[in-house]
Amino acid sequence: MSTINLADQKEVKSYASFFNGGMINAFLILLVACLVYGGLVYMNKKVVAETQDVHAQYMGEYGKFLTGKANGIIDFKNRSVIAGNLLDKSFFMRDVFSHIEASILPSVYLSKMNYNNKTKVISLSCITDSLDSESRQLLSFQSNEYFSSLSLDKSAIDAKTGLMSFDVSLKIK
Amino acid sequence: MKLKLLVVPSIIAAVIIMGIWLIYPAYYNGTDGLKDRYDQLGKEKTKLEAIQGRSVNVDTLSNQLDALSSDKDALYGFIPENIKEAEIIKTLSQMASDAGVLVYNVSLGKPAYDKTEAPQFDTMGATSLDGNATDGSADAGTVGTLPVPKNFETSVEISGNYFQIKEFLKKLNDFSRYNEVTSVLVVKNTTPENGQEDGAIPSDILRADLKMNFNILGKAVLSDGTTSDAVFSNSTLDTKIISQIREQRVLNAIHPEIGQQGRENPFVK
Repeated sequence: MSTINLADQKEVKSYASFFNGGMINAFLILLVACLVYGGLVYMNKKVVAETQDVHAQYMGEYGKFLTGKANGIIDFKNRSVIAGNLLDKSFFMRDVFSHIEASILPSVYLSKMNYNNKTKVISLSCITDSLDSESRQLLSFQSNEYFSSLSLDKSAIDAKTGLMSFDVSLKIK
Repeated sequence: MKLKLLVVPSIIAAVIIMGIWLIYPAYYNGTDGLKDRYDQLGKEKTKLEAIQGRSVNVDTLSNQLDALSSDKDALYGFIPENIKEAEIIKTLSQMASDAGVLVYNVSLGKPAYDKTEAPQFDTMGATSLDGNATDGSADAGTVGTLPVPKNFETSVEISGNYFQIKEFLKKLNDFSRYNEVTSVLVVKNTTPENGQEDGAIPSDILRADLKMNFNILGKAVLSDGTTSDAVFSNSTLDTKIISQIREQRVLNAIHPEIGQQGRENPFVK
């Protein structure tokens, strides 16, 4: 059986190039990605070197700072702060004496006084001639606002002298 | 043809994988990416600028401190570095003499930290380049300290009348060296003084046992934890404490003098 070729031109077999547009774009993207990565690595090393340089400068300055005049200044400042705190909490014994003097009645006198700064308690051993004086003395201490509380620890009459002796603890506010 | 179909998606896949596994971590990974390195560089530059600024302030502050000359002695006398036993004894003796009381016992204890004042620890920012730089967080560890005062108890037993004892205590309050009276026991004196027979004790003579704390403060030395102290941020030294001390404490310490030294036989009276 015979065939008839109706084509008027000779058929040319078309072989598309391996590197067509899509392929080129893909390789370009790959190339850009590689360049970006390389750039990042290069910049990283550069920044590390610069950081080390700055750090070395810092350590040099830091060393000079640690061994220089700054020690005298930090010492002065530390001492000033501590001195300020100590001055603020200064307690004056003359205040204790003046408040006791102000509260003691003419008919009462002290045989012993003990002040403890930690507890802020003044313990007094008082002597008087009567229970009436003792009660008025206790009232006098209570009326002094310098003292926050009062406790009567002991009260007794001396059989020999007939005098009243009583111990009082006063807490300072 | 089949190969061509595979190459383009393969390249795209490779680029995506490269972006995820290489490029982005090279940019930022929390430790050594480019962005992390830039952050570290920024921190180092900030630290360098800060220390340079503090160094400039230190020069200015140091000049001001030098200009204080003897004025700063008020502060260093208020809380000295050393116990200065001789100075304490001499001053107490002079106070007693001025107040008219008789001192018959003085004893000085050993310096120790007050129980309520444990040394304070500061923290620092690490300066490493390994990405673990810290900015003073608690995890950085305790590396810097400022000294705190050490107290030592001093006992004084005196004898005198009420007003003399009060005067002695007043002088103690005015003493330019810090002291804190911790206890005062005043009782009627029952022990005859020298030259007095039994029963010849004046009725107004009292005996007082005083306990007081003096203190010392070691010299502060800069450490990693204290280099960023606020004092270095200013160029003006705060010296008002000197006038505060001078207002409250008017009685200066007395410095004893040795006088003549040396003897041929130390056991001969």
